[in-house]
Amino acid sequence: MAYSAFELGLLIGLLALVTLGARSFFVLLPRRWQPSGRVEQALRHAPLAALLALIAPEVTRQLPAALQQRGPLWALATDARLASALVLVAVVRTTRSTLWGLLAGIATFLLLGPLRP
Amino acid sequence: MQAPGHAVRGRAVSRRRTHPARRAAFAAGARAALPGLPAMAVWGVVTGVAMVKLGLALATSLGMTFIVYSGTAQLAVLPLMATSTAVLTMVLAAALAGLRFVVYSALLSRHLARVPLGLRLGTCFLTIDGPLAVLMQAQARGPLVQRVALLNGANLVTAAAWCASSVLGIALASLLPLGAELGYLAVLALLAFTVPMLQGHPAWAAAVASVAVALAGAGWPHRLGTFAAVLAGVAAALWVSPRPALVPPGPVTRG
Repeated sequence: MAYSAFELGLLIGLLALVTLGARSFFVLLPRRWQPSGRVEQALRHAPLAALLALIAPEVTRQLPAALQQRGPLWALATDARLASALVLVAVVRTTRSTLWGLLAGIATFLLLGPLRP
Repeated sequence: MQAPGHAVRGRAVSRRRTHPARRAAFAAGARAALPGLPAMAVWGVVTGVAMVKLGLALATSLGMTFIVYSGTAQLAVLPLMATSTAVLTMVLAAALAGLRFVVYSALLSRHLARVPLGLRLGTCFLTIDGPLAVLMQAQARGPLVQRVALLNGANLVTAAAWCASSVLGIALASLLPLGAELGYLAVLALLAFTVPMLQGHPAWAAAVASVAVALAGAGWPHRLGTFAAVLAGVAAALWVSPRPALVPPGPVTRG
């Protein structure tokens, strides 16, 4: 990580502005500009698409290296990032609790990754 | 959702901040937000730990917590900071990650229409998932009285819990033995938040398209793969969604 103090300040300021802009977006717009029809549909699913677009490359970041070192199946099964993400998704969907999913994902990540004996 | 006329009732009461009805609504909002705080505090701690472990200085971590006040933006930016992404690219990515709040602002707009601009902006900035749920639940129960005070009561305790838990995570990070690999907790925290959005065919279509394009474009310069993935996801959702009626049946018509 190589950011100057100015860049970090700029980042924090802009992130705060973006946050305020998003949270007040339709509050500041006139009533008749409220989303409807196709715009409303697009807006409803855009958050999911955006979050997954950011998350997916991080989950698979270390897979290419692992695939070269070990056999493909073994690499897929023991990759801490991928396995913990899959466990997290499975637990959230079965327990309907994001908290338990997060805790299970973190535990899986630690056991397969940094804490592996 | 109710007709807008229902909720105006609270406005007949005095605008004085200390008015009993306003104070009661404020306290009720704060109480209603309490059950959600422990889970959110876990996110705060995880975010604090991830920030420090990824190498953010103390001042930067605190600035992120108190000034940005958006776990989503912070968690989305952290992995990008680790790979020295350009500042504007990160801001754009955070804007995409925070699109959820744009959807929320449409829900909020009719509640804040008559509030003075300063209070409106402040209330918007503080209204995140928990407080908005408090407002929606109160609305489902009956006519809203002093809804801005109710919302800001929830906002206040939520903001306090978020900042306190983040600071706890920041302090805890230096005691934990592991290093930068704990930055991945930020990704897990973001993912846990995302999974409940997977409901219905359009959402699944958006997810599959977004993940596929994001993985295919992971190596593209300037994070173009990420932005292409968002477009692909939205396009897929629209393709699967039923065509909307010409006159929207929802509550968001002009009033």
